[in-house]
Amino acid sequence: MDPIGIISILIFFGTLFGSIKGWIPQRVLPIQVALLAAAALIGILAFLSGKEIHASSFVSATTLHPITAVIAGFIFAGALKASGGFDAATDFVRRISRTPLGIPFAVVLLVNLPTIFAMPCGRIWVSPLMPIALMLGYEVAKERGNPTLPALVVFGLVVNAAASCGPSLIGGIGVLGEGMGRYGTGSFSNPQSIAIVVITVVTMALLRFVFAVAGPSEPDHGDDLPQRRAIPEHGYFSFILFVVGLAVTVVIQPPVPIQTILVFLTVVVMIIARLSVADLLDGILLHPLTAMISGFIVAGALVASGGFDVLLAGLDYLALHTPLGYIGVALLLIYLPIVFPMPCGRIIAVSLIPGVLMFGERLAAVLGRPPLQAVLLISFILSAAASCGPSPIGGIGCLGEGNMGLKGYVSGRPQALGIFLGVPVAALVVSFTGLSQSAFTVSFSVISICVSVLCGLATNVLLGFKVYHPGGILGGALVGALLIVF
Amino acid sequence: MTKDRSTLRILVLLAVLFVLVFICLKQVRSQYPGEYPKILPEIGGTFSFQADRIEIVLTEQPKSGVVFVFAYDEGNNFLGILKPVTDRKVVLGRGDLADVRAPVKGQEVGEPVFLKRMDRYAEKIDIFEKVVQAHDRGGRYGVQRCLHPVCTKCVDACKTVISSGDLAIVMGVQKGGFILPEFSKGKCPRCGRCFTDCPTGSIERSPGRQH
Amino acid sequence: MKRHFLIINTCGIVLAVGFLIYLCASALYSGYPWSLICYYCKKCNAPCVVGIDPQGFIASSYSNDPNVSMYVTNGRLPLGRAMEVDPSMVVQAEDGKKLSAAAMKRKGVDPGREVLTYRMRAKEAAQLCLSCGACEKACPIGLPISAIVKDLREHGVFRGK
Repeated sequence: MDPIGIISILIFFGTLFGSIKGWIPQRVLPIQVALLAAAALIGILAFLSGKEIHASSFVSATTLHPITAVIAGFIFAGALKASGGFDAATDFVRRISRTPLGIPFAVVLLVNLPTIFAMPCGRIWVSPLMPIALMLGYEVAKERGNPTLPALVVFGLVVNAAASCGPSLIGGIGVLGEGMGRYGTGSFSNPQSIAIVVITVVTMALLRFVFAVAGPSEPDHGDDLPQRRAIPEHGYFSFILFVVGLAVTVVIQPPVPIQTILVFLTVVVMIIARLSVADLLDGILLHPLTAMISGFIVAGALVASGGFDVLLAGLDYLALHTPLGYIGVALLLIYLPIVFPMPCGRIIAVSLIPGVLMFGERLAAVLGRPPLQAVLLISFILSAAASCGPSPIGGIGCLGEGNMGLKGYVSGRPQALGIFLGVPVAALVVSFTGLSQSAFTVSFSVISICVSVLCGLATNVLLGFKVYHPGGILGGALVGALLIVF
Repeated sequence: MTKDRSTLRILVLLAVLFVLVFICLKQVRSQYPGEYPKILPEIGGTFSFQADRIEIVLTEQPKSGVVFVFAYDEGNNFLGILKPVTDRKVVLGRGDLADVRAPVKGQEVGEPVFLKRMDRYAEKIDIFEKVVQAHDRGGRYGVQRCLHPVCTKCVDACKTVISSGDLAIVMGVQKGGFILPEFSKGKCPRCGRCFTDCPTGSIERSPGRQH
Repeated sequence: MKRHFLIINTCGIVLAVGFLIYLCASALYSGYPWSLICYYCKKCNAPCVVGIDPQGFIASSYSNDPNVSMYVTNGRLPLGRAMEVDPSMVVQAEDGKKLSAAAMKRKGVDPGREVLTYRMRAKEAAQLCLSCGACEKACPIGLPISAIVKDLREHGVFRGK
């Protein structure tokens, strides 16, 4: 094993761990700068050891697609906010929650929306839907007298959005795995979607019964409460445009980049609502973007120094020479992204998928079951996709914590546990139904609706309603049906 | 009189429009003043069977530097492996696994399946064995310079010009098992895109004469 | 946060944003600014019979470096030829292990023996590309990947140079 590779991996994990644990205080060195420093150190070490290090090593390891998609998503979120789209959406959801189907229906639909219309980065949905999640959460908390319920709704949305880049057919991580492993396009989406619904409800259950995260008793809107000002018509228009635009993009998958579509929608909203460019800036969050960029730079440094090769060689050694064996190491590999969560799952996924494919092939050969490679790959991809939720370094969970005014990385553990328990669902679905490029199969349809209805029932209980409340049941059934259609 | 004049004006205008459209269409037609394509006969090769290898000597060095060595199995599936050619020689060794499999029904080739997937094979088919078996039972095997079913550039180029679906070039299975483009002169607009786009030189330009 | 940490950290963030701008400028300079819109979905990878990962051409173009390493997992060439082209090219041994061409030669493998490739530089991968266009057809946004391959194959450099 290359000693430089070993040192570079240690530097990387040390930086990550140190930042998470607080040994590198964020008020001294925020994680982005710490990662940049680590990348510089790794680069210098590799250069001094005689390896060829060029700027292109870092640049070629950068996946621009999620970064530009998130920028475009944030810009559109800024336009939505300035045009009153958030207020309109909140009003719309409030009206749904006042129907006989009630809050459970609204919650089930809201928290699963990012997976139904899966985007290449979950932040595209989280930004505009966060105020709605907060509103719903505080309403149900007031109704049920339980201050932990806002966290349920908010972090249910967060973990669902985080994982949603897995099944996204518009440049999601699942498609990346399908392409590299030469599986049928879209064949990884179905099992992941079902597992994400389970991950969402398990995370919500953990937040309700185990971690009991309670935020402030009331949201802090300042003077900007939605009910204190009239919602302009163009607010409703821009929100409908947002939902319909993204839904149509997911269905049709036009040969136009999603970034172009989002920018086009932004321009339309700007014209209708007479917004200026300055109005758009409100939606841009620089922290997750810079964290993603730093992560990709470090990934480039690790590729150049041979760090990832060392990681895979290490796993190989563990499989052959320790009691863990291939199965134990396979589990370790699947959950590696959760153990070391990055602000974008692609940072680890792109570098490790070839290793996962190779390992999966060996696992399949050792156990005599060829489908095991696909099972391992899908599980790894889902874990990597979802890992940006609990990531304390610019992950989507930080968005939720910030909006709720929570201190510390309180949502990390429930999300990580939820992902830990939910990922095997994807593995089970693949084992039983196999891979299919179409969602319109009997087996997938039945599983999708049944699992979603069960999750709806669980949501009823979690929100303090009766288990047979029609809101959760119908919400679950609708989610299951929409997962098949979209 | 006024009514007649206005009618006359309308008729003149229509006539002018008609002439303009006629000229424009003629312009469009004459955008393809090029030659017809010529489908070259397949590259020939002499097979020399040995215990653990087959040496193939080709009649010429292919333009792309690679050839498809193929054999048909009992189920009439086309099995192919892409092999580099050095000084007109190709060596197929025991243990060389097929890269692609395509079902063949009559003269039509079905959707190809790529057997090599990154680090693994979806299905391991020893192409050496298949060629030997085909040779022994008098089945079809050989080498071809055309890279179909992997490459469909000629057909795709034709589709960009002819939108009706009645293409001038289609792929067909020949008597010896070769998959070659088949050309219909009457449907060809002589746009020249097929032989311009062909990466292997299986299609060339043919100035006024048809192969 | 103390003032000197503020300065250091602000510079760090500016560097991160500057890296993004450098990436965009690099793509522009290489002559293929459209490479920035690649989805990185690897749909182009699946239909390549030579095992080329065409996204590697995209990455090399927006890095403006034809020496970026990329996967070519089903190319075949004699070991001697691999040595001539790039001794550090990663090839696959019979037991599945990945070694450099130089390491294979040191192990005593005959230079005339055909080896399966695994990873090589983009400019060499362009030589193995069949120009069949299957990757372009598979690309969901129709990126003209063959334009990069053509320039690398004919000139060894990108259009911008």
